[in-house]
Amino acid sequence: MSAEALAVTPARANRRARLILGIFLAALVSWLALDLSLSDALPRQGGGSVLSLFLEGALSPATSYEAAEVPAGTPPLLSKVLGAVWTTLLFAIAGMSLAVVLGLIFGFLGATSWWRDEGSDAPLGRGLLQRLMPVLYAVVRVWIALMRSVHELLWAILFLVAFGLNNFSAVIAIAIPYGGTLAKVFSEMLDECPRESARSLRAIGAGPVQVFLWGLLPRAFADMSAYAFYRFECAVRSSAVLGFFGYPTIGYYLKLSAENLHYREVWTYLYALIALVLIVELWSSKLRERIVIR
Amino acid sequence: MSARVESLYKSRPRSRFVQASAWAFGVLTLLTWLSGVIQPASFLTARRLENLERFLTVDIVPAPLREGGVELGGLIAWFRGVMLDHGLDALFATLAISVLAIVLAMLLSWVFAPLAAATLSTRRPFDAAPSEDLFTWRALRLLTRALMVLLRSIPEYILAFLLLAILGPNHAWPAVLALALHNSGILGRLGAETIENLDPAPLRTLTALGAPRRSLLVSAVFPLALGRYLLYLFYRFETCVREATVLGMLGVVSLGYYIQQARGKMYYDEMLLLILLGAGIVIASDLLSAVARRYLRRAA
Amino acid sequence: MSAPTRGLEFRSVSVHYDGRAAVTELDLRVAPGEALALVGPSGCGKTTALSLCNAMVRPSQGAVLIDDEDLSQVSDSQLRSLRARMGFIPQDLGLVPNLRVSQNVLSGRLGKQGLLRSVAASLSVRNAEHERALAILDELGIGEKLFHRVDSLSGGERQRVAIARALYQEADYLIADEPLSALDPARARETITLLTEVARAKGLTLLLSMHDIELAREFVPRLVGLRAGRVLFDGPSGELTDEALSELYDLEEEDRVG
Repeated sequence: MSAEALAVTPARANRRARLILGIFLAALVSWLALDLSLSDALPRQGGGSVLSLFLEGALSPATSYEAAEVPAGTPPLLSKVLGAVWTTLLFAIAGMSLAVVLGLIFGFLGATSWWRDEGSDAPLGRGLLQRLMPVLYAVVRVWIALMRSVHELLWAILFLVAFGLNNFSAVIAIAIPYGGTLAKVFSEMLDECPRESARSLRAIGAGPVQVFLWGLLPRAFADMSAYAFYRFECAVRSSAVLGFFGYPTIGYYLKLSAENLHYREVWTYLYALIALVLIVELWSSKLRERIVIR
Repeated sequence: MSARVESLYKSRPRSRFVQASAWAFGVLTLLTWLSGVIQPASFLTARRLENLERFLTVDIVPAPLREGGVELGGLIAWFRGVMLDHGLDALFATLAISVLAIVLAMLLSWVFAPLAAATLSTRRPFDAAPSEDLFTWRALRLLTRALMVLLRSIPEYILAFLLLAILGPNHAWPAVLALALHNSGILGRLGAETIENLDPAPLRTLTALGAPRRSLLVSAVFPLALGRYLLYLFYRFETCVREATVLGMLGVVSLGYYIQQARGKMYYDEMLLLILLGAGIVIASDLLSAVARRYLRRAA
Repeated sequence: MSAPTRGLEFRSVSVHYDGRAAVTELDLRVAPGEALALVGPSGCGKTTALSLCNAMVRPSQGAVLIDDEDLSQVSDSQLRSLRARMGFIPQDLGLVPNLRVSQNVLSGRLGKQGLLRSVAASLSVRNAEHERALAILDELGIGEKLFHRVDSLSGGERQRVAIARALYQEADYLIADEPLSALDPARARETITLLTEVARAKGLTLLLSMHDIELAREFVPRLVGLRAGRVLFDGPSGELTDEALSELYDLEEEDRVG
C-alpha cells in the first residue's frame, strides 16, 4: 500500500463519504431489525446489583475463594488460576504449532509465485504438472476458505459431537481455522515478496521447491513470523474461550465463578487472562522489532 | 581450516533476544506436547472411531435421506423448513449485530484514536522537536491506551457472557456491545497508528498558522487518516461477522443460538447446515469487504 | 554436416514481447573461454540477449544452442543441468538479503544438487560445502563475512557475494547483466577487473552487458554493439572505431567532444 494509493482525491473523498453514509444507513436498518431499545442497554432490573458486584470485583479481585465453604483438598485459588493460565497457554501453543504446519503447507500450495512467473520461463517446465497447477491451486484456495470461515468454537462443537470431550479435539479446533487464516495470509505474503532472488536461482537451474525454500520463503519470512506471533495472541484468547465448552482453560473457571456470582473471582481470572495476553503481546512486539528489517 | 568456519560461526552477528525466543518457543512447544495434557496418540480409540463413523454416516446426513432413499423433494423440503423456521432470520440477525457493532466500534475508536496518538495527543501537535510534555497529556494518552489494551485483551465471547449477566437476555445488546467494545480497542489502536504515520509536514504548516486543535482534527487529520482507517474497518468487519455467529451460543438470537439448540436436540444434520450457513456468511462478508476496499482504492 | 561446435551460438534469434521486438535476428558465436561484452544504450536488448543464454527468455524465432544443443529442444531436466552450467549475476544481484552470506553462496549449487542434498548441506556448518564457500570468499577478500547477513553488507561486498555464488556453482559460463551500473567509477573499475580476472583464472566464458564503453574497451577483448535489438558491430575492442561508437549511441558530433 503506497501512500499515493490512498491519497485524498476529490473522487475518493466522494466515495468515502458515500461509503460512510451507507454504513450508517446499514446500522440504522440493523437497529430497527434487531428491535433494540436504548433502555435495554442499561442494567436490567436486578442487573444493577450484578453490575455493582462486577465493578467491586474489578477493584478487589479475589485472592482466595469467595465461597464460605470449600470442599476439603481443593487447591488454593491462586494455584488454580495459575493452572488455568498454564493450560490456556498449553492449548494455544499446541493449536498454533499445528496451525503453523498447516499454514505452511497450504500457504505454499496456495501461493502462485513458485509456479507462475509472468515474463519469464515456466518454472515447472513444460510437463503435465505446470498445466495441472491452476486446478490444484483453485482446489486449495477453496479448501483454505472452508478451513478459516468456520469459527474455532464451531469446529469445537463439531468435534465435541464427533469425538466427545477430549483435549486433542480442542487443539485441532484451534489448529484448523488458524491454519486456514495463516495459509491465506502466508500465501499472499509469498506472492507479494520480491521475485528477483527466485528468478536468479531458477536461472542457475534450481528446482521449484528449492526456489521456494531459498528464494521466496526467506524473503517473506519476517512478515510471516510477525503475523504468526499476532495470531498466537489471538490463539491465547480463543483457547481461554474454549473453556466455556468444558475444556480446563481460563474460560471454564471464569464461567463457574460467574454462575456462582463470585465476581471477585471472575476478575482474578480476567486479570490473569489480560496479563497473559499482554505478556505475549509485548514479547511478540519486541520480536517483531528485531526481525522485521526495512 | 575447519576450525575457522566454526569460529566464524560462533562469532556470527545475531540477536540474543531472537535466539532466546526461538529456543523458548521450541522448549515450550516440546513441553506442551510432552505434558500429557494433550494425547494425540491415544486419541483415535475404537470407541471414538465408532462415534465418528456414526457421526459421519448417520448423524449429519439430512433427515430425509437417512431412510436410504435419495429423494430430492424431501431434501428440498427439509432445507426450506430449516431456512424458513429460523435459518434466514438468524442469518439476518447475525449480519445486523455485526453491522451495528462495527459502527459503534468505529464511533468509539474515533474518540480513542486521537487521544492515543502520540503526535496529536500532546501539547504541541505534530511538533518537529517533541517538547517536554505536560503531565496531563501524558496521563490522558496512557489512560486511553490502557483502556484500549483492556478492551482488546478480553475476548468478545467472555465480554458478551459478562454483559449478558448484567443486561439480561432476550435482546441483542450483549452481543452488539461485546463486539463493539472489543473492536473499538483494536480500531482505536490502528487509528492511532494511522494518525502517527501521517506525513507531518502539511499538518505542521497548519499548526504554525495557528489552527486550533479542533479544526486541525476535523478538517486535516480526520480526512487524511480516513482512507487507511476505512481499510482497517472493513478488515475488522469480516471478523465481526465471524464472532457474531458464535456469540449466539450464549443465548443471543444469532446463528450460534440455533446451532446450540440443534445440538441440544441432537439434530446434527440441522446443526451442520447452520454451521455451513455461518461459513457462507463469513465468506460473503469477506467478499463484501474486499469489494469495499477495492472501491476505496480505485483512483478515479 | 559440420563437426559439433563447442560454445554458445545464437542462430538468427528474435524475441517479441507483446508484438514489440526486443531482439531481432541476432547471430552470435561465443567460443569457450572467450570474454565478450554487449554494449549499447539502455533498452537495446542486452538483458534479453543474456536471458536467452539460460532460457529464462525463449526466442520467438531462431534458436539458442549450447554445445550444439538447442535450448528449446531439451527436456526439462536437461535444461536444469544446462542452466547449472551458466553462472548468472542479474543486475540487482539476485541475492537473498535476509539470509547469511553462507546460504547465498551455497545456493549457487542448487541446480547441481537434489533437494535433499541441498537441504542437508545448509543444515550444518561442519561440512565441505562451507569450507569451499569460505575458500572462495577468502579469494575475494570477504571470508570474514561468511556468516553475516547480506543486508548488513556494503554494496561492494554484496557484489562479491554474488560473484562468489557464481564461482561456487563451478559453472562454465559467467553471465553478468550490467554489473557496473550502480557503481562509482573507482568501484566499477575494481569490479570489472575482478570479473575478468576471475573468468580468466577459472577458464570461464564471460558474457557481460554494460554501457560504459571506455571500461569495456579497456578490459574486454571482444565487443558486440547492440542497437534497437540488432547487432551493429561485433569485433575485437581494439578495432572499434569512433564512427561505430557514435552510430551506436546516435550522438551528434559536437556532443561527443570533451
